[in-house]
Amino acid sequence: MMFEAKVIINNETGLHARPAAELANLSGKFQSDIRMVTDTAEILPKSIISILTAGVFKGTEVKIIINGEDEEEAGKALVNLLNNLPD
Amino acid sequence: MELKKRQANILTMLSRNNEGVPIKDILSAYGIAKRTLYYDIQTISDWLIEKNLGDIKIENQTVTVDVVRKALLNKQLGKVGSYFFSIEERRTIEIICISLHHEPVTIDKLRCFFDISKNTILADIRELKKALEREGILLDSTIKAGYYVDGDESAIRRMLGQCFAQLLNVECITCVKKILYETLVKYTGNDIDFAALCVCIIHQYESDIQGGAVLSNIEYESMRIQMALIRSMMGKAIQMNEEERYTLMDTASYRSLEISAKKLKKHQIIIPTSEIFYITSLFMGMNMTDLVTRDQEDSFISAVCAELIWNFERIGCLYFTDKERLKEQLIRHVKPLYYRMKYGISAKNPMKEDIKKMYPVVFDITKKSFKEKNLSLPLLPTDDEIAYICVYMAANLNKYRVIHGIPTEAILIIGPDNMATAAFLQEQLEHFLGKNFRYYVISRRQVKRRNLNQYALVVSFEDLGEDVAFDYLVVSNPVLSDYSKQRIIDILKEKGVSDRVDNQIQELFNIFKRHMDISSKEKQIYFDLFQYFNEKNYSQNKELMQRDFAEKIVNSRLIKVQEKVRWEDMVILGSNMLQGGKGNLPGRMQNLILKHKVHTYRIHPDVELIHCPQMGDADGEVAMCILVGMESILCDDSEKAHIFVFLSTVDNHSHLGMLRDIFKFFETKRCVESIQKVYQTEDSCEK
Repeated sequence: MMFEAKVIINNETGLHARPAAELANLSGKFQSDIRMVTDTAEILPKSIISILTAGVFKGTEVKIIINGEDEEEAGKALVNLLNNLPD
Repeated sequence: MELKKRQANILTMLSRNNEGVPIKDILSAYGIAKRTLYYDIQTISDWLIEKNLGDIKIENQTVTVDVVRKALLNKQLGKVGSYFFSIEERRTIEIICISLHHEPVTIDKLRCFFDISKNTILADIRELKKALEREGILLDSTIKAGYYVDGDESAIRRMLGQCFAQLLNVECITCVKKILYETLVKYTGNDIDFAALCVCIIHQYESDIQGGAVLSNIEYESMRIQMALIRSMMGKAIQMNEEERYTLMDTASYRSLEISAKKLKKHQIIIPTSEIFYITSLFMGMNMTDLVTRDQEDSFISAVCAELIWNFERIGCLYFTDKERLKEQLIRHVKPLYYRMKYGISAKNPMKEDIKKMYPVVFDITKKSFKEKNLSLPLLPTDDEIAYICVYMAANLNKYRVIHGIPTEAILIIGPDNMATAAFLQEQLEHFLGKNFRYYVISRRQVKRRNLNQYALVVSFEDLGEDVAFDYLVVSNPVLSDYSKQRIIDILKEKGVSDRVDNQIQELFNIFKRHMDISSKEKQIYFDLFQYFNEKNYSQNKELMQRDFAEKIVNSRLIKVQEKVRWEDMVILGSNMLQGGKGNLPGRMQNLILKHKVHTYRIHPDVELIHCPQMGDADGEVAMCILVGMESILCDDSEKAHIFVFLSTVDNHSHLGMLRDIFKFFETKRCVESIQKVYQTEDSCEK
């Protein structure tokens, strides 16, 4: 089993410093392997550098792929965060 | 009495020509003096009378023979046994004898050996002198030593090797073997079969290398080894330079011979180390060189380096201000490279990928420089080798890098003797730390004269020891490791040296800290961001340059030159177009044309790149324009082209991105065709 979901980043600033920190912080709480894939990059969201260097802006479609014991829980939490990113 | 082989040959010649043979023809055919011929004729006459076979006469400078019993004559001639050397064979043996015999070789000795007159010997010596002089070898004589050869030892040995190769007849080979044997017995005091011993060394070598017959002519190789031993015992050891010795020491061939030499030493047969190197070089064969002497090799390498620099300047559209210094640096590296190519040895460069990544354009230009026709190297070096040369080129460009802003802090790099490696490290530091530092590179020997406290950081390739106390020292490998990077950041943070990137990171950290706990990995994140921001700036610049070039090609009107013009006019026209008719450029190009110093490079058979330097011009800028000739134009390289790409430059590096894009564009067949197509359909014309 594997959790997969697609999310479109809707906040104005994209995955910039603050959202990136929140995403990294949240991802770090789960045991599962988490990956996020865009058209141009693959992101490991437990690493803040990986998030920042991917350059994810508003309108970017991100596919979340999670594999591990708490994949369902992590998936729901990450989708929720990405759908409600602050500007 | 009996006839010698030569006399028998002369008699046969005469018996087949009823009208006789002119004296000059006989002299020329046998390479003998008149005196020798008259002696031979007298001998033949006596022999014919004794055998009652006929008579021999000289009339009007022509020799005729009147044979009474032809069948009997032929039968008698068939019995003549002693071998007669041809002129070439005789002279070859003479020079081998002079170069290798343990006893003084005099005219008398040669005369007796070959049974010819003194005049014939003197004529031989004259001819040999002339032939050897062409190879830079002196053939001279003293009363005490007799005849001897003098000159570059590698040239002498090469000449002797050629002599051995010319010995095809068993009589000649036997004769030379005898000379080698007698001399070696005399010099070593050992009466052993040295030829057989050398054959053993060769077989051992073949077994150590591949197990097959590596050397095609064992007898020939055996003679060359004996020759090397004799010359060495005569005090004429060959001196290879350090680079060539190091190259050979890395080979299995050398190790095989070294082991054989050790075994022979137990039996009191000494092969000097210098000769082990030399014999290794003989066995490995010389893949590429026709060079005779060490001096010739040195000047060849020097010429290759000069050509390389010239090619690099033309292709890179730049100027090295200290060409001599660069040439000296290149010679130091091209020499071992040359020897590696000479012996077919491949060298691995562990930094190749890093260098290619760090200097993609310089690497490309260096490789193109090697590919140019004027470069005398017959083989293209591998990328591993080119990467080494690339570092030297880049190091000499870095010296003139324009640093924007006023750097306040300095970083000292203490390099090894190979300063190009230090420049490579400097480039990595610049990527990592940005351009906010001044960099100084010194060698280890210069450290004591420096006050290290004036530097924010010192990066060294080796520990400086206790006598040089400095807390802010990082000991690094040529490729900057993550550990070294971390240590550099720690030092800079500790010293309070901050730059724009640091401020950006601190701002991010403030945000991070509000949303997550980064205390456990703060250092690592700082480190990653530090590198990220610098690399980001670098890649943004690259993207800008690529876009700029694509737009230039798409948006610029290709300037069509309708009239038939000369290449010189095309150059002036192009330089005018670059500056819109203003500035000094056309005048400068005119001067360069007159001095034959215009930098050009043929990117494609139909495309020539022309460098328009604007260093120091107030209105100078990096710009490009393309002129297309209606008809093909004969260029400075004596080839024709339709398309001329003009590139103006202001320094040694700011145009390199555009240059790389130009190469990329014109090296694609489709792109060249697209320009020709545009040219053919273009409505607007300009001249």
